[in-house]
Amino acid sequence: MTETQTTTAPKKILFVNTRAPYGSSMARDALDALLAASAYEQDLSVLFLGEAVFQLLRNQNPKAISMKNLAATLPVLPMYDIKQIFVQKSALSSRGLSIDDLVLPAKVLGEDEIATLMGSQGAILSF
Amino acid sequence: MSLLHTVNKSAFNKDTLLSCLAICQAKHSVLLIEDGVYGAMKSSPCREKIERLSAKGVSFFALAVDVKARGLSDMLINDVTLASDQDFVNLVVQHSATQSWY
Repeated sequence: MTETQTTTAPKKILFVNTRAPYGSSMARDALDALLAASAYEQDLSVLFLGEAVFQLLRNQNPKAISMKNLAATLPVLPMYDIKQIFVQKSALSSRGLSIDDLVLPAKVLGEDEIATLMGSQGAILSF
Repeated sequence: MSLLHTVNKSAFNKDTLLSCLAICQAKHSVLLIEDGVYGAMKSSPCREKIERLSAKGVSFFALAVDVKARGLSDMLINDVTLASDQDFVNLVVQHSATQSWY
């Protein structure tokens, strides 16, 4: 009985971004995986840690380095039912950034809150 | 001799730029490329070192396409000059050797 329940109940899955946008394909891979996962009606959240806060900066234009503009795609997340978007407070402040510099309204979390968030998940995927 | 240094890692999570700056001398040039351009931000942990070395005759550049890609155009230290791809080639030719920090 309990087995049936665990397989059918929506799973809480946290996508953790840790990399800057264009130095590797990790940021793009995370976004692709997230959008794919959104089709399965699970309880999805996204967290931007450390260097990954640079993914959310406004005014990105990677055309000349032949990359897709991440900041143009990220604002669609709420439309894919991914409404839980978090950023690490210390990652913003240590880079001289504020919430106003970001392309989407994210909730700012301290380290203790991040620990609580991670602790409440059924799975965590780190990119 | 004049040396060109290229750095392609962010100064916020790697010591790559710091290692480069430690051996920079007058007439050397530093070109920040790829994630290295984050090191040219006003909030960069290397800002003071860059400004001090710039006053001593080290030239600092950031590759314009990488700056633009990351949305940093209005966030850079004044001592850092934007360089086009053609400028990159010119810098390589003008210096006796290139040290690549990665």
